[in-house]
Amino acid sequence: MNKKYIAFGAVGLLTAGLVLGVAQGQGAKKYAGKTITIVTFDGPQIGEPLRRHAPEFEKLTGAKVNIVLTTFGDLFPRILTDFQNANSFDAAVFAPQWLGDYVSAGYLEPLDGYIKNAPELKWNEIAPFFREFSATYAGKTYMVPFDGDFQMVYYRRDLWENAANRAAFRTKYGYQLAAPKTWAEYRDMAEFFNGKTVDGKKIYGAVEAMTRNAQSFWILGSRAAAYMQYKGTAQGIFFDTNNMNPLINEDGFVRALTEWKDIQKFAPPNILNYGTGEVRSGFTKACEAALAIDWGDIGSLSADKDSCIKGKLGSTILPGSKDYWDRDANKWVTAPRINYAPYAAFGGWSGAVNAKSKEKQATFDFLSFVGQPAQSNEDVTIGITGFNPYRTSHFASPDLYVKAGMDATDAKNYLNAIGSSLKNRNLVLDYRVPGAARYQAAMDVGVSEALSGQKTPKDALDGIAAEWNKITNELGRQKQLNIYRQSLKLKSLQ
Amino acid sequence: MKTTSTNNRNKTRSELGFLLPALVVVFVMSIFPLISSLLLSMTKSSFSTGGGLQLEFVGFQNYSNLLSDARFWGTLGNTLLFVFIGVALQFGLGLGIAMLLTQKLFGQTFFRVLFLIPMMITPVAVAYIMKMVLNFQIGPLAPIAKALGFADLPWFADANLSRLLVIVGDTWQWTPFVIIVLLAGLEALPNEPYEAAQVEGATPWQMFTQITFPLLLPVSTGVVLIRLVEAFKIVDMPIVLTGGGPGIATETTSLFAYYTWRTFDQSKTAAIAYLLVVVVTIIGTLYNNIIRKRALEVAG
Repeated sequence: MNKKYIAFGAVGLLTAGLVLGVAQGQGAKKYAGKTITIVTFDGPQIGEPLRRHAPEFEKLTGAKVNIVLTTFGDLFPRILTDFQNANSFDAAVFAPQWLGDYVSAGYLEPLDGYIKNAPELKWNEIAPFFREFSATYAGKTYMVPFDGDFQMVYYRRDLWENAANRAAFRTKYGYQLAAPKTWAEYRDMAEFFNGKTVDGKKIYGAVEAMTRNAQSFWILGSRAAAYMQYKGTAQGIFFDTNNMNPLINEDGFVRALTEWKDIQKFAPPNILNYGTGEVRSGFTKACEAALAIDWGDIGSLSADKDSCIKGKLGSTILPGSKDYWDRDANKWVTAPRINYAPYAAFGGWSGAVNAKSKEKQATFDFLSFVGQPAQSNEDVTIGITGFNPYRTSHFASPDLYVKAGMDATDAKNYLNAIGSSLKNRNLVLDYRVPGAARYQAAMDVGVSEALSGQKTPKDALDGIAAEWNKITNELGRQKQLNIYRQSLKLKSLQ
Repeated sequence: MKTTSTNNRNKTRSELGFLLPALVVVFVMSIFPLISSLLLSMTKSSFSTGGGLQLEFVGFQNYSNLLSDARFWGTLGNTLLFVFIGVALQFGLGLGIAMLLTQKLFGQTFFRVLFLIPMMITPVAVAYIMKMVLNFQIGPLAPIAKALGFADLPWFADANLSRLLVIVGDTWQWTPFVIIVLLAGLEALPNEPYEAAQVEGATPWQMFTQITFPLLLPVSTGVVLIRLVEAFKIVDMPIVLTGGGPGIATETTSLFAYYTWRTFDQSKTAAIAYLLVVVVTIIGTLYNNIIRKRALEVAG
């Protein structure tokens, strides 16, 4: 009988010890019992890395992380609606372009203090443009960057290296076939390769996102950047920094849109139905074109199993121009050297914390975890993440890209192109003012009207400018001007 | 007297008790959103620094802005085009196929199910299917399109060709609905008039124009009314197929409202929605009072 009681007691003590032990173990986890909810875009890009890292963070900290995914079109209003009313999202991962709306409404938590206390985030490793421009607003940091977004040109390196092509190109155009340095060269190359038979299949000169309700307005920005900006990032290309008048109908944009429309001659017949999805699959899976414009995604997608471009990929900074549009003198000016202005279109997916979140520190720690080199070094090498390089560590080791399946020469070329874009002091910042989505929607319609030939480029751009003026007046010209200037790190005008 | 009065009060209370849940549901789900969106359409929304969303009453300003906006009229024109051409095509095709399905043909049951499939699929999925089918470069119809020489037409650059694609997609999606309703109507028609007509030596065409069509008018006008009202809400097909482009060539008023909502201009969105309600109500009422009434009179 006694032995039975002793055995019972021993089992009881053991169980209690185990329970206590487990409880203590859990107690050691910093955020046990806490739940955070993050909303973002389901591309499946962007959503994928967040969903993948959520369980890792849960394991480390004991927090429960909910990732809510939505379509790109619904993301902006959904975040606004939630931050305005329910505050069910502790954080959102979105485009820095929308900071104007969210910060001016007071919805976001400044992160400078949190970043200071997070050495593992290695903040200073992030490229200065993303750290100082993209992640900040009116002097404060609101975002943790996950993605280095700017557009580049991709080309078929194998075709460019072909001796017969090089000779024929030189004979026809009078200069060497190399990565396009200017938009004029880009056009020549698109024309030269259009209709050529490669591996038994006719290819097109170029593929670019031209459809409505997609990314066409960013491509126009990329094509106009070198014509419009020549004094560095603070000059801006979208609005006059003295009065907020739109620059969208200035000659630099008109020339860019006219040249872009001309490229349709060297593109697939249904190019007006191409978004980035079609561009990426057309270039990397169907190998249907010699040139493409895209963010960094084509680089990492070239490593996919079904890629036809692996080992043939060339990447280069967005072409520049030998002249630029002097908006003050109202004339074209010959540049002393080729003027490059890589465009940080969209600005790169980044995370921000809801100012009304009850778990700000835990939420920031999750964003920091995703952005830390241990995670991001790998994420930027995987096509499905939608994340592109933005840290110095991302450039330090091309081996990571080779390990992820990229060809060694492709990887070197790709990283060089990104590196030269990032180092450029003339990087163009996307507009980040309240109502950015409204300005963009107006641009989307106008660009589509011009590309489809419904309006001339000049008329279409005049239409966008008129619409932009309406929006600016409605939202308050002075307020918009000051915010636009702040985004470019210029002092407010009173 | 007192007992009767108490009984009446109890009866009224219990009646109210039964009605209350329904009234609450109607108020919460219909009346409240209707009134609040009407009020929203008369405001201007903006974000004040640190103060969240601010609403300022502006009366009918959003409406007058829209009525002087070429984009609003353009999208309304597109909507009317899709509604009238689309519904006419759906009715014509639906009636023809429904009549075929009443014939005792081989595989009748199979075809009845087959024709209904587009209606059973989620509208967005239907739109994506159509996007693949109507891709004349790499889609399933590409070989035919190339052989017939229309693969290289500017389907997405030309406003009218883009509109045609949307109408084709919408017709493919909604004709099954017309088929199913008309088929039910056809199968309910009495046999006697046909037997009498046969005795009189009427041709099939005469039987169709003199018997089937008039007898089917109550069902036909009903299904057209339903489709008319539904077609005004077309969003899925243009947003997936063309994004509303080129320009605004295939942008419908509902899609315009959606795009406006996406930029968080809620007040303008509400005003667009209300203007569309007015248009639908006018056309629905005109159709019901003039065409449907007349048709029902003809049908006897």
